[in-house]
Amino acid sequence: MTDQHPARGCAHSELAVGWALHALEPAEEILVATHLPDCAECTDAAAEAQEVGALLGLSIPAARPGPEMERRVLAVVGTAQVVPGMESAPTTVPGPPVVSVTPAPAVTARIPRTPANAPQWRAPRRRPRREPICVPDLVKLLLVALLVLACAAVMVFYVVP
Amino acid sequence: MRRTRIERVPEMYGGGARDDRSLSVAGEARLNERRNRSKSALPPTPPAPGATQQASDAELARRLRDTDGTALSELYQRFGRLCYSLAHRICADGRLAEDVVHDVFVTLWRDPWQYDPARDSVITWLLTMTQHKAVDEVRRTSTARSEAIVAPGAAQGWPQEPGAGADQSATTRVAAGQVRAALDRLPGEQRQALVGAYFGGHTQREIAAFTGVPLATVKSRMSTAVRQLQSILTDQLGPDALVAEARAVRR
Repeated sequence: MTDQHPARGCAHSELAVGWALHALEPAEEILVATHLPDCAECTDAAAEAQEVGALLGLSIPAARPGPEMERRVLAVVGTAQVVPGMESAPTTVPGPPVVSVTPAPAVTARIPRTPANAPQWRAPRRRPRREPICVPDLVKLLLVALLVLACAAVMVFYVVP
Repeated sequence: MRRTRIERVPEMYGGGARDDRSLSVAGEARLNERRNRSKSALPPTPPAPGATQQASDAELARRLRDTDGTALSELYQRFGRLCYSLAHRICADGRLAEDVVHDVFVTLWRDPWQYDPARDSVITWLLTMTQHKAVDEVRRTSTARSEAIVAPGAAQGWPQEPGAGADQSATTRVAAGQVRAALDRLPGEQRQALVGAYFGGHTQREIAAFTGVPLATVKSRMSTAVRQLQSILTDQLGPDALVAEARAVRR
């Protein structure tokens, strides 16, 4: 059987297929990742390859995970999520190994976002901006000025004569 | 070290907002086109028996983003074993496979915005993520990889029909036989490139070195193999094979 399809137009479309199947070298992966947003054709080629890959993945005989698998996976429910708009943040933080002996509670109801289970990861909190002028600041300023004056006086006293 | 290697994948899959937007535009157009095609070609498939009230992908994504734990539970019930089976096939190690599946679902829970229902079906996303993470794991541990390079003329290395002890009750495998048959129709060298990369975790460069052909030839073979398979399977299964298969999947 030979290739009956017309060749694709973009020179990177074959790379896009390799990218979708995770078969590229690191440098090529970066190249494709930066190219894809600008190329609808390669985006399509990658999506097509992913779907074909998924069909391949579906076609293998089933294997049975260990009995702890489900509990281990679902133990993550209730832990922090990444806050939207913070894509630059670490997307997955290595979680502590699940070692609890008691079985995890069954997930039967929606878990509302409450202060108790709110996302633990937050953007680095900026220190609150201080008021422009306040009394403690003035006092500190005066102290610093006095210190500088004292230093200057000492310098004048010892150096000038 | 392990983390940095593995975490490369989520970045490729929508870690950046810019990528998300650009990809989703193209992906949405493609998806809409596909939806329209499928509406005309296929009658709406009733939900599989035993899989009552399966939520749509968009609905699941919304619930995940709303920190709804039942959405993750539902996804795991439906697709956890599929992901595990794939990871097990790639890693050839149950413990590693469990780590991979755990990592996939934890990634989805921690950052549900990585999955964009306008771009992929959830089953495609999960299996793609599983394959990538499993391949990363295999590359990290360098186990059992060379076995996946198959002889060009035969289906060696391709998972054989399950023996008597294999568990077939986990999923309904409507299309599995057709996928294998379609793969068998490919020229041996194309199948070798595709299977070596997807299940073996080999890069194109490794396959080129292993088979003694130029790298460009391997790239071309892999790309052609994907298009051939896509063409054959679309003819046989319809354009929404994965969606239909996802509906048929039950625990």
